[in-house]
Amino acid sequence: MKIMEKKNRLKLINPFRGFINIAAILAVCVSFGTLGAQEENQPKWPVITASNPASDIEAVRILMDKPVVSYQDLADLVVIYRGEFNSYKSPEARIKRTADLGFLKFDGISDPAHTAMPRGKLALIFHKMFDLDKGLLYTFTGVARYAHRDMQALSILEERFSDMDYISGGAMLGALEKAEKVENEKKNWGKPAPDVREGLE
Amino acid sequence: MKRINLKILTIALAVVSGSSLYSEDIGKFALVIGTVQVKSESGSWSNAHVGLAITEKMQINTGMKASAVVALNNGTRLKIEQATMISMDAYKEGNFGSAADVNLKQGRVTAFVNKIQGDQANLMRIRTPTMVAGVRGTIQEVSHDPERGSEVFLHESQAEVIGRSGHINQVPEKGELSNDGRGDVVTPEDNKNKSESVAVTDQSMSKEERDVITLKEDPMFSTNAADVQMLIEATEHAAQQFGDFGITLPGAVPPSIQRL
Repeated sequence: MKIMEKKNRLKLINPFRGFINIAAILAVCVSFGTLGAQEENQPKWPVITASNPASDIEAVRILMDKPVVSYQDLADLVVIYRGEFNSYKSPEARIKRTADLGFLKFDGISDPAHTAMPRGKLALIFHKMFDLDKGLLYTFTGVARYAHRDMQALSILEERFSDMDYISGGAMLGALEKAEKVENEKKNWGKPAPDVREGLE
Repeated sequence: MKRINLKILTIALAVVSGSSLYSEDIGKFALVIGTVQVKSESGSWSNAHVGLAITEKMQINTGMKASAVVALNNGTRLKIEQATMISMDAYKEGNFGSAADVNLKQGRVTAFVNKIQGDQANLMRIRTPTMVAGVRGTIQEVSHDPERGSEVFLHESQAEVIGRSGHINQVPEKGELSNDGRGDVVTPEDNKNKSESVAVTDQSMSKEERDVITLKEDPMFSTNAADVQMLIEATEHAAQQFGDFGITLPGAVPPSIQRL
């Protein structure tokens, strides 16, 4: 009873109690809003710079220095590897060519030059480009996750990354070289190894 | 008379300035397949062709499905594989023989170095961002990519590989050594001498310390015989120090046995 009386007394003393609560809630909302605005102003990781190289060798040089590659870079690599760069000069044409070859679907990617490409997609492309051993799960499902596992099993891609991680340009070129090497080993299995002195002496 | 003097002075100035700008050829392209481009120290990228002279500090870049063979003046040959970027950092010839320093940024090169003739030595180093591989009278394949790190494969003879902290690793013939992006040297399972692998990363070391140990201004490229002698003595001293800590280097005699 005494407590109730005390409460009623307090209500009389502090008629602005409701307003204070509302002000506090508003202040919290405003502070959250400001933080959100600050985050929007900051660049989102990863920052990918678009490039339009004039020649295939220039594209390779640009790739070597890229910390994170985009879908556009992947399409460029496919076209360069096939020796078709001069036939598909524009970035859009190279994207279309990669899609036409059936290597990768670019559905839902509005800006391929600025969208980071996960490793799983690279693994998918390698399965299409090279004659590599396919695992059971990839054969059944055909999804990037299992293609990536196959590449890890073949030591083409590093085991310490997942299929959703991004990859640098230099690492992508290294992986492509390794995939080519694995395919050649498979093709030439049982044949004598080429002479390393060839062309060197 | 004054005119003649002026002419002589002009010619002399032209010769002096010309000789200071002139960069000596250290080799040439012996083979070019596909698109290969070169860039001199103060130039732009241009296409390479067979017979093109190579100068110090020249960068060489091979395109996709392209390769090149470079023949240096001392008979050393370098095969540059596809999508590779190298630079010919240093080349010296002197009484000791010759020394070449190649910087491999990305890709794969195979080096064929002529064997030592008499007192003279053909020294060659291939430097990657994570290690330095010395090639002496061998056929050696070195590759680097930022993720997998550096790999060395010895087709013939053996070589020494120095990690970033200065530890030396012996790679046997047909042996392979890899050095991952973090700087740890690890031998693959098929390497017979697994016990010789050592961790070379020392995070406490500053960049300057690493440069002193492995890279900058070392006497390897000195034309002075005393410097070469100093290098040999320094290596022996290091081996002795390892012995004091109870670490036995391949081929070194433990101190306990020496005392006996």
